Amino acid sequence: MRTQEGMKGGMRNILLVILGGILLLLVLETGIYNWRLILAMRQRNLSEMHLQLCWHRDELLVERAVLLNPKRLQSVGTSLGMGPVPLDRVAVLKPREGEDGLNVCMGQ
Amino acid sequence: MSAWDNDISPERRSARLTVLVVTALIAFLITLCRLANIQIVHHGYYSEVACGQHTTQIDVQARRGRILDRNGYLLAGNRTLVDFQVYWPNVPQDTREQIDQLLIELGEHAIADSQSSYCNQILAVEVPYQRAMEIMDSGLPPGVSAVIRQERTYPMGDLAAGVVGRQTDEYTEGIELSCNSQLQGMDGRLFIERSATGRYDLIDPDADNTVVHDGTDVMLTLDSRFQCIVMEELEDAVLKYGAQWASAVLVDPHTGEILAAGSVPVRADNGALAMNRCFQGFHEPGSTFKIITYSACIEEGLIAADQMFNCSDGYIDVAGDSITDAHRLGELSFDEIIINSSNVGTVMLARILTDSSLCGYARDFGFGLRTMIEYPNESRGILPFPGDRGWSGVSAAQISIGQEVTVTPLQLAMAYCVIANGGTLYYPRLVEARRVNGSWVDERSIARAHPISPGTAAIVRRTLRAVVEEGTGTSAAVDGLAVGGKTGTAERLSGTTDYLSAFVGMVPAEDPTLVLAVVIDGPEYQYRWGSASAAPVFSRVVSRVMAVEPRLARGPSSRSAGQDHGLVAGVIE
Repeated sequence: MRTQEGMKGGMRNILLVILGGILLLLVLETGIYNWRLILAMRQRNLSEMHLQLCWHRDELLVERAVLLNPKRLQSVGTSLGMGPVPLDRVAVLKPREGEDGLNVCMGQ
Repeated sequence: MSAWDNDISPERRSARLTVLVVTALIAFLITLCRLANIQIVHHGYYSEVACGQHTTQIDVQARRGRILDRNGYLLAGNRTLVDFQVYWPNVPQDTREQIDQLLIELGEHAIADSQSSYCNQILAVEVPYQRAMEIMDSGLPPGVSAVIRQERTYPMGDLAAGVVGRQTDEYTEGIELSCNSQLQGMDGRLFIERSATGRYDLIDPDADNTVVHDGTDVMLTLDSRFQCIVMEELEDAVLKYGAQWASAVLVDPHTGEILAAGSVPVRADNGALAMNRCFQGFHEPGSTFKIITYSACIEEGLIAADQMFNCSDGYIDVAGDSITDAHRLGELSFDEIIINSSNVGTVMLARILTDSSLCGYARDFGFGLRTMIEYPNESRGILPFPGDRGWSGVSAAQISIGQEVTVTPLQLAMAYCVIANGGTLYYPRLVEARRVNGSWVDERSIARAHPISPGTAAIVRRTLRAVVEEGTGTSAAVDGLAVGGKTGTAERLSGTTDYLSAFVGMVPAEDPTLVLAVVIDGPEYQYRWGSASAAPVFSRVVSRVMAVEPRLARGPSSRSAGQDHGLVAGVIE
């Protein structure tokens, strides 16, 4: 009788362990699923941020190009009194005596 | 008293139970059949419906590659714009005020001010994405949706439009077309699993998602500063000389890189981009072509250095036809024929060569062939050969002085590059580099032919310098800089007699770093000569280019140094 009761107790313990294990696995799976969900959402948010930053960079590049437009720079420079002198007053100077010939500049 | 009381006989109770069990069984069977019908027979249909309800397909547009000039200046970029639209059947009556409020927020981008009779209505277009995101973050009214799209933008406006081209939904032109396969990238497709609130919308990792590949950036050989100068001078020239069109090509003769290519007018009457005459237009080169005849004679060694040519009659008979000079030039040496641009003398030179030899040299200089530049619909011009249809006894003489042959301004510039670089014809290039995996991969210059020797090229350069110093090209001179070049004037018969004025030159003459071809079509009569309109434009363009980049005045060695020596363009008082 005692042996039978002992076996029943052992079986119960094993069943309890198995049930506990299954419960633990379920909790773990839920945790992992939530963790994956959080990671996926973070990845989605980062992707959106990356995309918006790309758009913003494109926008800034266009704005920079508009500001650096050579024609605009020329008109702004001219309005500030820094425009080029009339071409008939411009000449390319030959290198000075004794120089290596690398230095050439425009002269009037 | 309940139905299970003892006053009901056991038989009756048993019958009731039987009915109940049978009813339950029938109901169970019906449910089972329905379940089988849904799960097995129509499984595909219902799974598709379910998938459609919780999965959304999003097409992700690839960002088109940028186009930059050689200094990294943006020539073509992208902007992100948002369009707002409403589907009126989905708008509850009590939320219409929210749409009015949205229209006020959208300001100048709003194009609708009242409800239309259509179900769908566009509320606003081309809203900058930052503004659109602010509005979307605060929540859109029911029935309103936003469409995000990329639009091509060109910060330089029309200044480089002739080369860069345009890209819209309707058409693609220029470099945008020729490099389209690299620029456009590959659109992607994502399947999103939707949640009820929209908060947990996530990419379905098991779906057939396609990754988006953005387009490749392309760097051109153009220098936007030089391009601006060329375009401004051409626009001025068209106004000043009353011309129909003008074009100019600025080339690095040692690589074939095109630094600027302008064609004016940029736009046709209907507002569309006009033909780029640098690559797609062709014309008779006139006297600028004489240099081919001259080079061929030197290369063949057929002329003695002291040989003289009698051009005193001012005309020469060729197969019953007469070719004349503008003035009687007397007895001319070999060089003086080119310096004074004598038609008669050049025909005498051509007679020393065989017809096929002359045409062969012209072909070797790249005429009659496409240059293979990265530009769509390039013209090849016309170069007849002996035996071709239409070839006559006067053809060789006419070709030698640039008649009966048509060329593009680019072909003309590339032919002069042969003389400038010592005898090598390069394939011209518009693409400097392509960005592959984040780093720039340079394109290489490729030699196409070697029509003349370096010795011949040096002699021709010396003669071209004399043309500018003492011949027909004096108006192309630049103070302090040795210029070599050749004028050209072609008579164009198009109902009324029109002229075409051209000048092709190189600087510095002894060791050129730049070759510039200027062609002005249909100038007023007093500006018809190459020396009267094209040569002054050449001079102005070169002066301004040198003022921007004085190192170019030093010759090719300045380029190989690859660094700035602190030279400043300016004026010494």
